[in-house]
Amino acid sequence: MDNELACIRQALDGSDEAFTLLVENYQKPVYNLCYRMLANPDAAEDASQETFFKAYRNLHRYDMKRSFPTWLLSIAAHHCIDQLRRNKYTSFSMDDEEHAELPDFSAVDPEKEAVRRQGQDQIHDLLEQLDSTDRAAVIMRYWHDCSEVEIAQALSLTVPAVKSRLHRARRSLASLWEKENAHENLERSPYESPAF
Amino acid sequence: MNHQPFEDWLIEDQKLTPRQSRDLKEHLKDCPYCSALVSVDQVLKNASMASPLQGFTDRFRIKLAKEKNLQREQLLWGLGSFGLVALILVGYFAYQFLTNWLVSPVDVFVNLITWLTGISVTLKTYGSVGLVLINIALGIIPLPIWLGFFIGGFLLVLAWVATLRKLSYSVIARRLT
Repeated sequence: MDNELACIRQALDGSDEAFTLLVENYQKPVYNLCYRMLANPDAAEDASQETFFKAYRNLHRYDMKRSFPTWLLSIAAHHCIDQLRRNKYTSFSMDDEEHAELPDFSAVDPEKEAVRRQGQDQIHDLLEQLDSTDRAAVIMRYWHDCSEVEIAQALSLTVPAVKSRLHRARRSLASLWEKENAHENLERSPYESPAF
Repeated sequence: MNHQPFEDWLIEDQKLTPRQSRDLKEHLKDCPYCSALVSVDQVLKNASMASPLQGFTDRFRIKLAKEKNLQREQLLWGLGSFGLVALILVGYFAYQFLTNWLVSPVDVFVNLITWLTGISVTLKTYGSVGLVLINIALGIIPLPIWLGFFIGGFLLVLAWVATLRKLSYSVIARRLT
């Protein structure tokens, strides 16, 4: 924490190396948020780079009392929401070879890797159904353990609005899950009697 | 017990008593919707963090250096063109002044004084006409309209500055990609 503040102060004094250290430390959470929001590795890379550029340009506006990672996530979330509204990156196509996620060649167990990929797709499919702000709130809650107050600050919402968005998102995700599972069960046993 | 309390417990992540936990477990056996709520919650909680490709920081460092070079280049271009225009103007006036000076320095002084006097008289005239017009306008137009006029003007200038800023950033971003 002290190290982080020292880095921010040095970056404010013009040290690019200090800012690069911050990039090194927070690349993963920022990238993860962008990737979950945009469901596309290339778009996520661009969005995360742009997030750090925006942070670099606006570092003088950062309030030292607030959490730095939450501030970064806030920039990333707003950037992704804008991107989604502008470019409509809402659909994630598995057929799009150019944008498909690269397989993990270091994976020891191919079966495990396949399950992991399937899980990722499932998560993308779920998140894709949500409105961009709801999606950002869910990602910040589940992946980044942000409190409702932090999410509210990051997304420029009130705490009750965040609560209601999270509730609404979870309800719609559950409905979707229920529907998909019902569909899968039907597909698995199309001629089976409902009694079994 | 009906469905709603169970859904509320799950949605609000309520801490449950052992008795409530037992009831919820029983309810989950029969309620696909509440089971879905639990499953989605677990899937999201267990989801891993996505990582960028290796070398993210290096790519950032390169882009940052590129942007700084671009800004420096733009500053140099701006200063260079401003300097060139200034040099041309100064050269033009200096040429005229020097040629006149070489012909007759007295004429140059007389022309300069006439020119300066002309400017001061013109400014004075515009000033008095302006004051008369403002006095008339103050009597006719009420204060709120004046205020609105000035605030509107201020906002327009702000919007203009913001647009210029945004446009310059978008130009930089486009050249970077």
